[in-house]
Amino acid sequence: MTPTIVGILGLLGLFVLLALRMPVAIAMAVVGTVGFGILNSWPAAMAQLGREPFVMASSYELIVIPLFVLMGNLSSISGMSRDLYQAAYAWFGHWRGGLASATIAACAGFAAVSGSSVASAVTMGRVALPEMRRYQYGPRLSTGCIAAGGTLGILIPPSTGFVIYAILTEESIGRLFLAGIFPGLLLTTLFMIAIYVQCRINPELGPPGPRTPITQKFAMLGKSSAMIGIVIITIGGIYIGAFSPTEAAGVGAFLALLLAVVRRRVTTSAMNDVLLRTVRTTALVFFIIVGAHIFSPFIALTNIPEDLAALMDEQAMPRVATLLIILLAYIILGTFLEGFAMLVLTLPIVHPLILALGYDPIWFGVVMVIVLEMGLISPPVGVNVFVVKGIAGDIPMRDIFMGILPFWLAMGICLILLVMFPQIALFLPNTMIN
Amino acid sequence: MKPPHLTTELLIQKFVRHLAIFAGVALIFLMLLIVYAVVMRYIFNSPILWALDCARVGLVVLVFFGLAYCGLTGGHIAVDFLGAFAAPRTVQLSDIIIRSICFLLVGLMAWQSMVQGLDALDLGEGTNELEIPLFPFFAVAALGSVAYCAVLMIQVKRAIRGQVLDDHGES
Repeated sequence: MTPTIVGILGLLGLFVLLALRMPVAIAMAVVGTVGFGILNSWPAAMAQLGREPFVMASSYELIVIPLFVLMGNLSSISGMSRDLYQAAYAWFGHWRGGLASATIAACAGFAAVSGSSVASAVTMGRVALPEMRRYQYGPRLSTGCIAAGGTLGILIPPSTGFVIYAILTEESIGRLFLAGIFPGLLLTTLFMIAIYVQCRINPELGPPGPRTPITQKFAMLGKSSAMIGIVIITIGGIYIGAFSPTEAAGVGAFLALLLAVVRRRVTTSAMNDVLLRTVRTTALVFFIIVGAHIFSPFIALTNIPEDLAALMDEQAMPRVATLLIILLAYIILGTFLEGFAMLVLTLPIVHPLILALGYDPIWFGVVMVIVLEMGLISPPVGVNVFVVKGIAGDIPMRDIFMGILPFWLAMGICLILLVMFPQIALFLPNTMIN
Repeated sequence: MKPPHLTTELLIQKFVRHLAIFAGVALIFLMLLIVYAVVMRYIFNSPILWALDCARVGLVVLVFFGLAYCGLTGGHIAVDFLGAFAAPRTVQLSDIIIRSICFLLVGLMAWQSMVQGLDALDLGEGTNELEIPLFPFFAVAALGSVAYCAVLMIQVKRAIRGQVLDDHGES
């Protein structure tokens, strides 16, 4: 059997195991170990199974994951989300669909301290949904904007999506974080435009609220200054080269803890909950990374990435056509595969292909995360949709998915803009100090 | 009095939660250590190189002691195709087989961690600055994996009893 045949059988086996509900990390480790054993040697496969998890779990660079997750979870209990929402409402509330726009702005703000889309959707959903109900916003708009706004959590740094991409492709976490800033702001703006257009067509969807005096606007912004300060210190610190991403995460988590203490939000049960949630997410992410690191050497031995690149070369397709096929495949995969799973399962094959096509891997990381975001709100397995459903129990799933559609299209526009103008993502990392 | 199999399950759950609490302590330790290292470098102009070593072994405790808790609370990401299309009996049978394979793989991982740990002991492997021996941390990896094996064993037993297993994860 040629290595390519073994590789194809391995991929088929992987999809069967996944379809039979095996956890993604274990499915990758099973296929990776067996495949490596066949193509290399069984003692080497066994040694890899014992060594690789330890190597990953003792990597200094990866400490960034638990610390940024901790920062996000501490921010959730510190009451920052409510302050952010009130500040955003003071500034945008008088617009058509102002509460929905405020939700998006607050989600973007919260995304800057949280790397998780689910955490962003849960936190902002609990604050924003009751308010939008009180002002009789259309259920489709109110749930759609929370589900979509939550996805900003993995685009605006810090982002667990970027960290996993960086680990799997050996790219710089700091550069990827910075690359996410402008696309994140662009997507936030596109989401707000989507809300404005919907409310322009049907004003009853989101009636404008009262105008807030300018002094109060600044007062509200001032209340969020602590959070803004944390964002500036952490992300700004990475940009100017003062901190490594790991140091920025540690300092950010510590400041978020201080803020929670000052605001008297730290109780034994709250802290217990924050720590256990962080431990759980950390284990989840690390186990996925371990699975991917056991799977990747097997894929490398199969020559599948090289064969695919050669095939693309033979077809003599324009490189942008190849890129569009890849993106389309990701959008379709995203409708039934979980985001992290999609990332780790496909990157060992797609990343070499992207490099062969001459695309910038940092830029592709941003594009991938946006496609991943689209998957988070796509039927039938959009995780954020289920999160919103959990908060807004009485709103039918069909309405939530219908409400998401305009935001999904906005993501598509953002993707097109990024393909046309890669500098949107690459400008900041290219000007980064150190 | 509870039946013996439930008592075993409760004991395992208790043990896994205790490990997770240890992992939480390691997390706080990591945060304080990184902040201390930053403060020493910027304020006292005295970089502490050993922080890197301590952080690395702290992360091992955090990750491996959290692994079983993540499994116990259904945190590991899985894709639920089968549940949507197949009959409950098929799902049950598949769950029993799949979780048993998971049990074997994680068991193998625990065993190989111990093998690697013994190698580390023989070779005197340690961290770069403080030369903290790596052997005990391979043992931590093995213990965390064994705890996850125990959780998977509970899940196999639950699947045999006809309970629905649920892994969902988060993004």
